[in-house]
Amino acid sequence: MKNLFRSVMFVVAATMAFTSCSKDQENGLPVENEQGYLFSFGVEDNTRTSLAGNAIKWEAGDLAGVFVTGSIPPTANVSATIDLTKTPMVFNTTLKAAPAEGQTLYAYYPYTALSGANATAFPMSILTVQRQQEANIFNGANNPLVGLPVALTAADLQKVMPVVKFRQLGSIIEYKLFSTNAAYAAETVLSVAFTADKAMAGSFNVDLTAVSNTTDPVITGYTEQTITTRMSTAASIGVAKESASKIYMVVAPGTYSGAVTVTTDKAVYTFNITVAKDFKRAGIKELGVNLANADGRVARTAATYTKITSIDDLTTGEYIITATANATDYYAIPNAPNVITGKIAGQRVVVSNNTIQEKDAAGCVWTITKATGMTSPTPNNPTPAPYTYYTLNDGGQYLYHEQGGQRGDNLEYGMREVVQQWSVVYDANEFKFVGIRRTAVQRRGLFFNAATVAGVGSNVFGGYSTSGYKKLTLFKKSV
Amino acid sequence: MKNNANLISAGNVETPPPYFAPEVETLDVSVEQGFFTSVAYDDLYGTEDSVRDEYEEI
Repeated sequence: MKNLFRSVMFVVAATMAFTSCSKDQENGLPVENEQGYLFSFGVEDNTRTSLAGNAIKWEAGDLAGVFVTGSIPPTANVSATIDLTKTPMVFNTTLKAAPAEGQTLYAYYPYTALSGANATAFPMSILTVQRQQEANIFNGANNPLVGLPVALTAADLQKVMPVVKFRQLGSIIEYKLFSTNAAYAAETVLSVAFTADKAMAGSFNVDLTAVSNTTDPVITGYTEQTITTRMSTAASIGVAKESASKIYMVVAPGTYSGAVTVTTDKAVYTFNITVAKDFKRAGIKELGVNLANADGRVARTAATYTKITSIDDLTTGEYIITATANATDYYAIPNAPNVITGKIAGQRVVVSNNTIQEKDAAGCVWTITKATGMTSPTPNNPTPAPYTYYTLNDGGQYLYHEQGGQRGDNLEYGMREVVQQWSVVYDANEFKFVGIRRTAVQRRGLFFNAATVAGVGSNVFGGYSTSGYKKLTLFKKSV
Repeated sequence: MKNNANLISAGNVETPPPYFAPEVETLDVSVEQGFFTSVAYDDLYGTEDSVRDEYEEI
């Protein structure tokens, strides 16, 4: 029998990882420093939560979001970073004010950088485009979690670690891909999509203050009917279910019929689900997918992406957005990126003769749309001229630049369902993308840093000024 | 009220009604019926355990 209350600890012990030892730290008291109050809560390795058997496992780099009510000023939606070196595992965060007895702490996962967010109606989502690094490895960032609220006691703030436990909002589908037709088994899988008869994805609001251990969480308000899981590394296909490749998808709990499509390097397979299936919250539904038994198979040709070399070439279409520091090693912005402290880890892609083959940049295709905007007339400018902007969409959401590059090093990138406008110039053989906010183009842009960024890794995309960092190289899908 | 002695003495053996246990309403204690059961969490990660559904092919 499991001990239900020994697992994840929410530690208001603070600071061991960040500052030198002090008496207060030894006692586990929150400690003030220049940034605020360092605060820790406990929980475990590189990137997101994953599946360990049927358990949702914490991974290094995981960020949870935290609210603390009643502190002065209250803490609203700050990120908390996992520390796997502690036992139990600990999340660390910095609060604006020292937490106090009687206050309540709310947590969720994965962290989203949203200013002005409210714990009682916090926007979360079941992503319409989900990314999986490789076959059989679940990407927990696709699986939203909400923490049981913790009322902080005097003991919590002294020596005892209060416990935060996380409940699941979605339902996990584990597609097991194989083919009893040997010819199909030689193909590699790029993506799996499920279009349901009703909405099963998109954004919704969650009342984090109402998460309960006695009432299962229910989500409503999402509107999307299609979810696509894109592989960052094309997956092989087993020859039998015992050797099947596992590809995961998180859906909103519900009962759905519809169609599943599997896209490989050679074909698109369709499987009709005519009898609705039940996908339970916190459930893992194993669906065997034998390509030999598909309801339809349409052959396709693998795409090729070619480097573009002028602003005129940047028309609406599908692109691989890359950068390189040495003109040899190229990294692309992946779809459904994990954004860590405003930075996005690049995915290695292979460039040969100024082209990228589809299989060498799996899960990195963005739709760039060119459009025309118009500012509102002002007394000083009653007839403003139209301007050109671009949007970057991964098939589900837009790449967003918090504050449009107005802020400094702490500016945040993220993915949003709302359009984010970018200004683009072509300069010295590279493209410079800068966010537009209220039509004003900001200074800092989307640049590439080949160096190592703490907590993120090397070869990252982030908000930098031009000095020392690389602009972007774009590869457009050939038609 | 009759007793068994009287029944026998009358020569007419009156079969007593068979014994019926009082009807007991059984309670099906299950999650589906709304009874509280503890949510299970993983010991190490503190995340709610997932429940794996039966394999089926589409």
